[in-house]
Amino acid sequence: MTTERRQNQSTLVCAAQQHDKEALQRLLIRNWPWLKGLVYSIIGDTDEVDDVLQDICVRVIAKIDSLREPERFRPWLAVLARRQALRHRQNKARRPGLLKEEITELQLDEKAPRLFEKLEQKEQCRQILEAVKSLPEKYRQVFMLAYAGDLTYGNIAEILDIPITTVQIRLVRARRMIYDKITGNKSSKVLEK
Amino acid sequence: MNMTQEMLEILIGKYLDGEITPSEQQILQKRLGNNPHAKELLEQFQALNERSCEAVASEIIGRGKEAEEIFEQAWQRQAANPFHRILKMDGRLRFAVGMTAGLAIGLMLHFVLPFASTPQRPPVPTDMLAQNTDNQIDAGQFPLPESLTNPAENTLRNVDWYSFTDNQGNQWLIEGLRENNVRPAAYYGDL
Repeated sequence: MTTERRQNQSTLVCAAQQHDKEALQRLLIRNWPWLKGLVYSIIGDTDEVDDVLQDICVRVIAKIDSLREPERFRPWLAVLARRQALRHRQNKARRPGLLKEEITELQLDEKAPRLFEKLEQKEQCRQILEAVKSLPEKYRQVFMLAYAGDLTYGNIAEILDIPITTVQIRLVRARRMIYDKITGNKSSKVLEK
Repeated sequence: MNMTQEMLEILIGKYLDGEITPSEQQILQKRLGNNPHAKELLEQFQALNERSCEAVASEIIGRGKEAEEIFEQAWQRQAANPFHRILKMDGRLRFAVGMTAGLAIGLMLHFVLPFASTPQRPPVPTDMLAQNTDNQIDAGQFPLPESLTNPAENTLRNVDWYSFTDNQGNQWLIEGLRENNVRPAAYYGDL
């Protein structure tokens, strides 16, 4: 994020802390795509993303006063969102009947030499999403932030509070795992550490 | 997949994400020129990247309620929360509310605690009577309590009562305080 944008964001945070509704709304909407991606990466269900986002908004409205460093709004928001999404996922897991998250095993022709050769576009998207759901969480989060939020490595590193090199490596490994899952390649040595 | 392979994938990833530096791009181009496998991998990952963008967009970005709508609902929810209203009060008002609440609690404790902390004494039997003919008490030296001169006025005291008959046949009613003080309570002549 550029310095100018960061300052602008800090200004909005300060205004939001003075109970400026419009400033808070702008602040959240500006960060909405990656926030949605992050929540999705944790709960994995589009239908429930909006409910969690609303809970996050409520928490942000209630807690924005407690943010000491306005320039750290994004990581603060990410931590808050992650907690809320994890709580939602735990509550969901406790409910009977919703315990098992079924991830469809992909039935792929192992002989297919090239990716997406025989698949329709919609089917490809479905397979990618299934593969994304099967990723370990830390890879899934980086992947979703990169694709839903259209963020730079630096932005993702800032939000997740991790080094940029970690973002690069996680993203590469996430892609490799998705690729292997779709093509049915099980010889990949990209493993979760 | 060795480390070199992962390095190649990192470079491809950076290229796809628009994060590659000019020097890294040169290295990548060199690899792509030398290694047909690298070129194929780039094509595969490029296709995967495009499909991933479409998949995420269709799954997340284009679905669900608008951000404004969700925020508005959250705002309404939060505004309806009475605890939130207290927290959002003006500083002085919040101070005043806190002071009032503190005063009320203090007053309540002031009046409630003495009753609660008074030690329980064993009940005194009402028919506790004793005769002690040796005691000679001059009732005239003590003014009678007002409650006794006015029998209609009832008061409660923690005392023991004794009655006895002296040598002249007078009956005495003695009020014995718990602190071992004895003083005459009343004298009615023919008690």
